Amino acid sequence: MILPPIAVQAAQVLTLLLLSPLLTGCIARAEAVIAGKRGPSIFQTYRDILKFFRKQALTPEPSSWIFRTAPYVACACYATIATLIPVLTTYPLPGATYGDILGGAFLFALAGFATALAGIDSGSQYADIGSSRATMVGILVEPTLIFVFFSVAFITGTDLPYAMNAALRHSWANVLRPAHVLATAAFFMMLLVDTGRIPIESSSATIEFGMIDDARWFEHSGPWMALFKWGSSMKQFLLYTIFVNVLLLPVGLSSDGSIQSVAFAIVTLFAKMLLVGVIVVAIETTFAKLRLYKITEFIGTGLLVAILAIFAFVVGVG
Amino acid sequence: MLHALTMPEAFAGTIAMLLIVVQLTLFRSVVIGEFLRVYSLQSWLLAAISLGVGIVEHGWDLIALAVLTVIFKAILLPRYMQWLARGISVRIELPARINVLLSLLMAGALIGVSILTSIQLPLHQGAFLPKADLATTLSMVFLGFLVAILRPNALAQVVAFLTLENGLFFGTITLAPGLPFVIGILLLIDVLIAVVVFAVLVRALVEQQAAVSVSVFERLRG
Repeated sequence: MILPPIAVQAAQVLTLLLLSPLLTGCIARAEAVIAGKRGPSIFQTYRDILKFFRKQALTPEPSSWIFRTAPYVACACYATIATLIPVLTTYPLPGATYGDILGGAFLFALAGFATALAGIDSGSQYADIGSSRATMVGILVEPTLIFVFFSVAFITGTDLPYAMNAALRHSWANVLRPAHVLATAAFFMMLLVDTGRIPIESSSATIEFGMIDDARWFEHSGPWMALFKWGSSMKQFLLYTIFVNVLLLPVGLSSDGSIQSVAFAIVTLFAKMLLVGVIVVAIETTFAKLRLYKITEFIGTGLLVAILAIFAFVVGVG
Repeated sequence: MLHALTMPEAFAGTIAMLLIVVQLTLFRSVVIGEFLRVYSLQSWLLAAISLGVGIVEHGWDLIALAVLTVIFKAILLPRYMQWLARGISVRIELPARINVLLSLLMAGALIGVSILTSIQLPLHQGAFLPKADLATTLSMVFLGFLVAILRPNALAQVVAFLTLENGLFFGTITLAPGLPFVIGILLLIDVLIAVVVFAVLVRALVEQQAAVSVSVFERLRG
């Protein structure tokens, strides 16, 4: 049975909403197992989110409407990005061409901006520091991501994620082109930064000193907290999707929209993400966290790699 | 529109770029163990390219070289050097006037110079992207020198020399796959000499700073 495109588009968003906590849970479990602990169940993130949804929400006294609307804005941004990128299909679905890959980057930035504002609006110093750190890291990461997307756009001749996926699927040699390898490596480094993984911050720790992203919603509670937690899982899911489906392994996606192929696409997508998750966990357990002021060096290396990618392409060595 | 790459070209290009990315991490490591791990990782990459070229060109000597590279350069020598250096807790910081970002900028400029140099040369034959290979070889040599210049520490300089030699090894394999087996072996022996230098240096350092050795504390664990 062939699904209508609009149904597949809905399936893309639902995949994001429903599977993103599972991915977070699997990675947390793998991390604990490697560290020799039993670890939480892979469904723990769902339980956390459900628990927070049932709790009462408190508003700090100095906060305004920004504090209350930010969680919804952030989640809406993430759900919209899922319609712009190839999560399940190789062909563009309705609404997919409303924004190119930079449009997706803008939505990520908007979500980050809303969250940072909410942190400042709460009036708490810890949330404020979190916002300021997240903004600092964001300022450094964005040029790198723009260079990455430009170099992929150079190689594939387009900046629409679906067309990038098609150009890479067309020939494996395109995936292994030197410029593309450098761009992918730079994107992976930024993936570690944006999902709050070990060289930048430790995802499992609750120490305020080292926190960047999670510190922004210190003052949020109840359903808002649940939305932020869910949102950070979604952000991770989306970045992994871009990494595997647009940059690294553009295979296994549905090309005709039949139910079987869409189901197969969901399973392969999750398997590919687990593969990336294993690499991320390996990095988490073998590297130490960088001090806060050393983060610029890590991101600087990423920027250099991304610039080299463009350079290698423009001068014609690859 | 850009021309499509063949599989061997793409493979060589990928290994070349990974070698450079791995080399760049040397600019922020501060302990000798990380230097050695980088060297080991580069050697695995070299073994992969040697194996790949050997399969494409049907050169059994290159496949043998790949096996030797894995055994010696990727496993035995880094382990041995790690074992040698276990007794000394040297930090190999950059000189105070240069921070990591500045050294990375220098590295970027040097890579740019090597890419611009190699595209000027009339290299057109070869199944493995000769220009990118030459650019990689030159950048690895430059970066090896840069690390050796920026780190005022003898052990780091020896490992920097070893990574520089990895760059040359990569160049010989990809640019001249028909090279006699003897030269590949000679390059491997070259590495052994560097390791001997490393061993002597470590011995001297241990003599000098036996008091700050951390291995003393390991015996105290309960």
